[in-house]
Amino acid sequence: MEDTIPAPLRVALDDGLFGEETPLAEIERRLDQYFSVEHGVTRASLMNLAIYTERPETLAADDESLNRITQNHACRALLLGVLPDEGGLSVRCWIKARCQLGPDAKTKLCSEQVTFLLGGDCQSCLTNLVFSHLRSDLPLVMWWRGELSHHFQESLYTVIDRLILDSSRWPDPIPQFAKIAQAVTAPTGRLSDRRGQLLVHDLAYTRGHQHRRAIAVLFDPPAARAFLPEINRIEIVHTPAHRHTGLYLGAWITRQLGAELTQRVGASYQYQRPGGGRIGLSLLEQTEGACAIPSILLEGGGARFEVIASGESPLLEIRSRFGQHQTNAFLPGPRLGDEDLVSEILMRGGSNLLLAQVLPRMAAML
Amino acid sequence: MMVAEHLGAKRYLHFARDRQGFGPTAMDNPFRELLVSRSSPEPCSVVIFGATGDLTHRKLIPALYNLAKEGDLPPGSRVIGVARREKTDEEFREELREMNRKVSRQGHDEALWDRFAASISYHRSEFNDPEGYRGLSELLTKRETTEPGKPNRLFYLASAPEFFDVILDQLRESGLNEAQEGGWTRAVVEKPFGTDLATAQHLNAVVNATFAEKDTYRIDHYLGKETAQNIMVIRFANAIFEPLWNSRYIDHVQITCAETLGMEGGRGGYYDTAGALRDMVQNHLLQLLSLIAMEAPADLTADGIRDEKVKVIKSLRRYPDARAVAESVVRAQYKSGSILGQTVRGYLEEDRINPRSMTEPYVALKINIDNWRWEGVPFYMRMGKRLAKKVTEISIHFKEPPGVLFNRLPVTARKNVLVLRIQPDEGMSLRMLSKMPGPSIRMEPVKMDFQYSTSFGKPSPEAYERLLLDAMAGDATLFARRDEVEHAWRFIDDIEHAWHKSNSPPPMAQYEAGTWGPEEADTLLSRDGRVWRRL
Ligand SMILES: NC(=O)c1ccc[n+]([C@@H]2O[C@H](COP(=O)([O-])OP(=O)(O)OC[C@H]3O[C@@H](n4cnc5c(N)ncnc54)[C@H](OP(=O)(O)O)[C@@H]3O)[C@@H](O)[C@H]2O)c1
Repeated sequence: MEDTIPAPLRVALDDGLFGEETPLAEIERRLDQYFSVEHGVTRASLMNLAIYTERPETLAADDESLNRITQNHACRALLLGVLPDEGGLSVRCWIKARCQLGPDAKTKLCSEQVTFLLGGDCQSCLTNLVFSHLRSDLPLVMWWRGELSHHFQESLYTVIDRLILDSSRWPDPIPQFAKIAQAVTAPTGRLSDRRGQLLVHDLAYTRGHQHRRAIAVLFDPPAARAFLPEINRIEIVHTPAHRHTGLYLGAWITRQLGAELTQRVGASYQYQRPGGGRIGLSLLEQTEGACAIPSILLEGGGARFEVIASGESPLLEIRSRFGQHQTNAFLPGPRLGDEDLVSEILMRGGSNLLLAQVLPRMAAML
Repeated sequence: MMVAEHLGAKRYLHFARDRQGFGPTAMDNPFRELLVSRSSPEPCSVVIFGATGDLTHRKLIPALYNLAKEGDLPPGSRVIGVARREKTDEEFREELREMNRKVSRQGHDEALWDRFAASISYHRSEFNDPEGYRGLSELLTKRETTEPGKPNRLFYLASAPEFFDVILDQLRESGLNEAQEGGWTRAVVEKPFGTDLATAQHLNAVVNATFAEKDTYRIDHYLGKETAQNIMVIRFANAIFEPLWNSRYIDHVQITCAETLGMEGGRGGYYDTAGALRDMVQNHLLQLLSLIAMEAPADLTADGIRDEKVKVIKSLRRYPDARAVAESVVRAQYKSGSILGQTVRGYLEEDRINPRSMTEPYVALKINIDNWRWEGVPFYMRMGKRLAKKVTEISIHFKEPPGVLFNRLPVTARKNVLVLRIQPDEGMSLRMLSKMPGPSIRMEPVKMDFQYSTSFGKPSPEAYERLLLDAMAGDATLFARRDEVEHAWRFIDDIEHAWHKSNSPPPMAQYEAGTWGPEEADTLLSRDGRVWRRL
């Protein structure tokens, strides 16, 4: 294993970033021991949260992500790093507690973290490691970094309650979406008391949340809604890394308008409305911009509705113009960091119905 | 489309259809579908009467600012403050900014404040001056016609209660109570809502002569607290509690609201005219009691829930005479004592308190609910100032298990107790018996504890944020309805009458500041073979 550990990870290991190295069989005992000797400490836990990555060079950054997330979400954290295949199976693990002062400024609230570094082909060992280190009865949220590899297998995903992905980072998304389709319709695993299907969250979709809210606000006034049947042109501008967020927004807007995709030419899509009207949707790429989606425009019947992420401002501007009417207002802008998005997902919970309904339409636009 | 087929889009579609339990709803705004689970607030003009007062500065404006910060305040909303002092819009905003800096829950961001504050203006008027209302009407019309948004108006009565009447009368006479075309008009009324049944009925008559009941929002900020809202979720979303939630399994219930504060900051003036019973029990504590004791509502609509709550209040057994009050209610005043190492004065020596006052800063009650579910289960309630610590909580004390097997053994605390903590440290705990490790069977009570703050990272929003948003959205679930208020007063009036108008008024007990209240309150329970929970 030692040979395949990338340099940045080696530095992190030398610095003791992941805590105390522990024999696999000792993990639970040592954690219990830690909490029994530390006084004034609360071992807080609301869920099991696992981060999985096959890019071990990012483990230190993933550790930092857990640091930020656990400040708001007490959990048993599992950090799973898989080294590229290299013969024999090997596992190293570390434990640590992340503590912060509670609101009374006296009690320390701690999340515990177990980090695994796996070498060799660990297809079945991964599932076992996850199973054997979950805190019982608490849901399992898995943040899968990168593409869904052969490690993403049925025995594992049937025990996951919430799966968090980021499709915008996938070089070849089509087979990836097919895997998700398979996972969400798979029967619930024997070991999970999950009632429904696997809940999937795509960060590429979550990134568009404030934009969706902004569009909803634009059409709150009934006078604005009167123009909904007239909308015939939609233009979504995205930055290069965020085409998927743009696609999701396009898929969502057209779904809510009841329109169906009929034709696609490059980044232009034609939709048909139930009443016969047509909508043209174009996705434009813009190389610069701090925000994934610099602007959205909905137009038709002489009315214009816009959502604009202005420069470096953390706010979204909404503008509408129809008849004599002209408004502009500001709303909170999108969260930028992946950890913030994950925190938002954990905070909101819910069954993520909307994504489930938008996802097939987005996949059809790929 | 080919791409979609290739991807197994049919599967996705199947997946999506499966989950359409909720289906696309017939919502007006299609972009709101499934986006948020609450009804959405509409932009409006919030007109605050008493805008230079403490409530506006400390609670209302910071609540609106924090809503704006979260993106929950609908764009196009505006705030118009009304009070009698002369000041410009700029001066008014500056005062509000100063306070917001100090108290805002999520900090103060100057850029965001400037944008938010641009919607705030000030209107000077005496509450009884018809001219002032004409001016207000003109101001509203002007802003509504020159600024975007609908002519929705939310009148917030944040003045001292003696002005509620006159403000409502003036609103009616100036026609400001009438909804404008394409908009709505609502009124939010602060506490206290009356001082007895007669004044509450009078105020209700004035309110309802001015606004329809559906447009009237009587604030009880306890209902805006997360933990109060959680009572129904705990009861009706979990399978394990509701089957036990009745006289067969529950021995009694205790509701405690303890404060360490006395009459600092000049609050004695108002307090001495009210007392613990009217200030806290009539509204907040009876609301908590009704959430604990109500039947499951038919649905989660405002009236569905309030119908059930009001049934509880109507079923409270009344005290027919002063003797019954003396038996079941203890009133008390604190003597000097010590709080956290500081010597504090007795109630009668406090600032702005009549030295011969017969007002109670402490009250304890034994309440019976005459309905099937609660037959024979007393609810003990206590509220007091200058008690040992600040805590509000409800505890459900279960009956003892049958005295066989382990239960023949002596044990200190055999009953299971479920505690719902409202503040501080919101959360809940369950006490049960467990075997102590060792060769003999020795049992001790242990506690399963759940704390909001260690489980949910996000701090709870302030009660006023939630309540303002609900009023803008037209959701009255967390506001008291006319009949709730009046039935609560009917119950309270019997006690007030025995204390202040009967020939043989029950005595005023005393307790040392910094303790858990008078001995008489302990006797209230010990007579029944029970004790107050040690907090
Ligand atoms: N403060 C709290 O935290 C709190 C909490 C819960 C409920 N409440 C309730 O909220 C209400 C207001 O409390 P508060 O503490 O904010 O009161 P406050 O500080 O005394 O403020 C009273 C307000 O009324 C105005 N006012 C008084 N007489 C007037 C008149 N004749 N014409 C026009 N304006 C007049 C004052 O304006 P000027 O400054 O121009 O005189 C001031 O803006 C009360 O019903 C109270 O029970 C307050």
